[in-house]
Amino acid sequence: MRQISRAAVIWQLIAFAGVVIPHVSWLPFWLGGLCLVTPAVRLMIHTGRWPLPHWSVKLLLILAVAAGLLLSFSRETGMNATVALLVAGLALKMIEIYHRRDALVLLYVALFVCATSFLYHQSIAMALYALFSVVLVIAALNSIYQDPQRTDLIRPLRRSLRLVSLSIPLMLVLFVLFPRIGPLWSVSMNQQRALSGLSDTMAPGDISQLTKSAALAFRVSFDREIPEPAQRYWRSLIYTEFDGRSWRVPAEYDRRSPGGESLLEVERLLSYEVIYEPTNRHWLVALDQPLSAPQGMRFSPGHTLYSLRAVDRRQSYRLRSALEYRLQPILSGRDHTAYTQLPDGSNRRARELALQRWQEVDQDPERFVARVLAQFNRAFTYTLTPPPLGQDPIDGFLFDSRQGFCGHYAGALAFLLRSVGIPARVVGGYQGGEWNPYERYITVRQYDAHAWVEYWLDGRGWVRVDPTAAVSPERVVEAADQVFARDPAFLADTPLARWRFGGSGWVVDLRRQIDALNFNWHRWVLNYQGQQMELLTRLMGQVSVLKMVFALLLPFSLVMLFMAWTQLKGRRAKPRDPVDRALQRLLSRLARLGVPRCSDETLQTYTARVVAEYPEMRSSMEVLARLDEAVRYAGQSAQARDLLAAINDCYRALRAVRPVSAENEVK
Amino acid sequence: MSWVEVAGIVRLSRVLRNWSLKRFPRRRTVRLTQNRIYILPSAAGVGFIFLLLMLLLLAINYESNLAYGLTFMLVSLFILSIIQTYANLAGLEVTALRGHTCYAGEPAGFTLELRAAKGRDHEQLVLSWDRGTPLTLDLTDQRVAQVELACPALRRGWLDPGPLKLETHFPLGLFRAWTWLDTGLRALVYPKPIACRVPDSGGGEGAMDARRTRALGFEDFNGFSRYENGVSLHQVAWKVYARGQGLHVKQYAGTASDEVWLDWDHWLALNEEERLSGICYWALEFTQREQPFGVRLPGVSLMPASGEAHRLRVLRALALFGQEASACDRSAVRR
Repeated sequence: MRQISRAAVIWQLIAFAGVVIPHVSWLPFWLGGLCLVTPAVRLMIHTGRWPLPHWSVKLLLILAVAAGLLLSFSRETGMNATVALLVAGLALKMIEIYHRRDALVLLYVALFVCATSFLYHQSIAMALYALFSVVLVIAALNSIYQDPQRTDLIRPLRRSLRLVSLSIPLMLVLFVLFPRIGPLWSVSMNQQRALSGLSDTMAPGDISQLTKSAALAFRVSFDREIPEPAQRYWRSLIYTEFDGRSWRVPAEYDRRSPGGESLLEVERLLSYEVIYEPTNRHWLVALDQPLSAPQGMRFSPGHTLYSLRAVDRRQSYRLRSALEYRLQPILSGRDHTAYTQLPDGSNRRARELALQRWQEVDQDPERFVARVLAQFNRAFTYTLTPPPLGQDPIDGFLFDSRQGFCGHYAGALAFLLRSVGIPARVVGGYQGGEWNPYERYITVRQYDAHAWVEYWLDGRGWVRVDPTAAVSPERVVEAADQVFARDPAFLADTPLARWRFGGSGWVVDLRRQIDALNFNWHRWVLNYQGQQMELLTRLMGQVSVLKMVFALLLPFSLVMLFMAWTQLKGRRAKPRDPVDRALQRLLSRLARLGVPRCSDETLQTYTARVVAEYPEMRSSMEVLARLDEAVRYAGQSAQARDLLAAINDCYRALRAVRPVSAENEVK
Repeated sequence: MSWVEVAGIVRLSRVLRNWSLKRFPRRRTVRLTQNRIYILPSAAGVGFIFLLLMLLLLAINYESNLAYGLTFMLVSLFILSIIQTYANLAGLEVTALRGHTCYAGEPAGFTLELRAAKGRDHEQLVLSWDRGTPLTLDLTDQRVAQVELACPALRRGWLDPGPLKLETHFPLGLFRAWTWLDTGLRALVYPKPIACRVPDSGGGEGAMDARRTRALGFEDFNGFSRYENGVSLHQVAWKVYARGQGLHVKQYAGTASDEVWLDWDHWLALNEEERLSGICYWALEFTQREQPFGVRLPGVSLMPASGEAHRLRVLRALALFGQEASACDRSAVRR
């Protein structure tokens, strides 16, 4: 049981603080308080003001903390509780850091806690911070193994910085090459609440709530061709059931007809990759009609993508989509009924209006739609803050308020279509997105959320119609932030974001560059498993086990050689004293000129040898030798400055000297 | 305590040690190279491997690439620390200088010289014999250090401290690098001085008392003489020295002509070792008083004399009594 030094105790405190700080934001406040109190207690013990606590005090503390953990985390068993337990353990251990073994337990657990902070934050800043706290922990580890007499706190830090920076190359090699395998068993962060995003029910005003948020929804990078803004319809949910007030995704959404609707005559294919932010929901997004579902995903009946597992972390997937297609040209009788179902007795005025228009256009669905859109265009306004609607929202919207957001228009149009027996459904998703010219990808935020309508034509299948485009065409063509910029309700929840996302000129430019950096971070680091195969194939052609082994061994041995070299070469002994340093410089130059000084030679005898070779050095060298003798042997330290000057004089004189051997060659 | 020992693989480690020692001829100065430096994870290192596995599990299960990154950072630190710990020993030059005499029951000191590799630091080097307190030192500010490493001497005679073990856990404690060196050093251990019955003088029976009182009592103080090298420190007049008047030696009168014999047969009641201890005690006493004395052991007889050289001769004879033959060949092996 070896006791650790005082400097090491301080380092344990620093390392502890370093790893706990990222967790303070979500830990219960009492645990945060504990993390403040115990290091303070340890400091009081350290400075000798308090004695080491009695065992009964420690026991009481442990019981209190255990009770606190039970109260705070009794309903959770996931990672939160584990991390809280570890942090509490660290905080308690802090008090009795005394022996080397205590410190080791503390530091190892601290490293684990440091890793768990990545489950909560994954930004670049967090990664840099974690790197910093690893440096602190390694310094603390070094401090318990260095000479206990040393009180210098900076020394372990310096060594730790050196070690960590030396280990970065090997880390990168391992990061790039280590095969990523799926989870060994299913784990979940216990954040069951849905994050902001689309919901599986849509009342008319719902989507306008989303425009208050500038949170990232997903990013897309296209392989080659990029669709026009007006073609960027990201389908996510199909609302088929209407109860008179709101549209709903059917409950059996996941299980009915695993293949989804049939997709025919696909044209204008685009390949792209989606990096989808976590929502804790199952549904995903895809541009129009994807051809096939990637692994772990399925098509819903309405041919949208959903994930078999709730998306509780950022996910990336590659898709190929068609912009021109025919979707489900033949509709079964059952589906036909389902897509024309309306609750009885609600929104009577709207039904009457629909039937009247239906007669006017001679029961032609396309002309019917055009008619309704024309009416929207003429008499309706587009706003983020529509007035509340009454008992029959469709009636209220069509006949009274006549202003609304995409959800109102889509819901109303689908209702009118169904009233006259045309199968119709509301599609929820996102529209548009911001093009980032720096990294060539599209960023879609929550305020890009959108709703539109698909109606079914016999023989042609589902046809998309966006009533919002009729009312406010710029919404579909321009980015949402441009369209909404002057609407006070836009981004109302995040006042700072309004400045960030509005703006113009260099502000937008800077924001796009930062976003591009984040995109690369998400793509290449946070979601590296999605890129690994492609990258490795690009680097070394067909990936095989043998190649992987070589790829691992080659950089590995290079890095190892480099590390061994830096360790074993030693550093050039550099004298601290300016006189010695200048002298060393002079001597090494003389050695290069062919007169090396022997180790047992005094400067006096050496001078004689130098003068024999280079007579022009006589005066300056003799001054030097005399001064050196005076300083070294007669103890006249006052002349040290003269000595330095003399050495520098010699050096200057030497620069004019040409090597003897070179002169010989000339002759 | 290393985990190798904890795991009860003591015998394996002993076998490894003997094999390792046999591979190299005994030399006075040894430069440590990869030939003779062994390195294995320490107990802390095994714990660290466990931590790495836990971290990898975390990274895999949560598919967190940042956790992967942290894990690989620590893996590469772990690997780097192999080199670091190895480099902390490599290049070090160890010279076995000498063993110092002592009395049985005391620790015998062995002087070793350690010379750092050029331009490198060696920190927290732990030197130890099989027995005795290990010694830890840093070679950071100076390139060369002389240390005295103690080994408890239990019995008189030549003390062979066994192989020197040099180990280090620096910088992170994850690895233990060590080496065994056969220094060839040995120390002469004198019998432990134990007071016993007053010895007879070598002369006839009758004249005992006067001489004995002279021999044992405290003779007349006769003045100071200048200190010369080799004179026992017991005779130095420390009070005079403290007054700043230089080192002087106290002189006693009337001791020069008397002769005392320390005879093996005098202490018939004691066993062999006790007799040696007794003779040792009296030899020291007489030397301190500058009383000439002779020693008679079975097969050895040292004529009466006094002074430092005589004392050393006597002590050596006592130390090696009965074991000269077995031990003297070692010095021939050296070099």
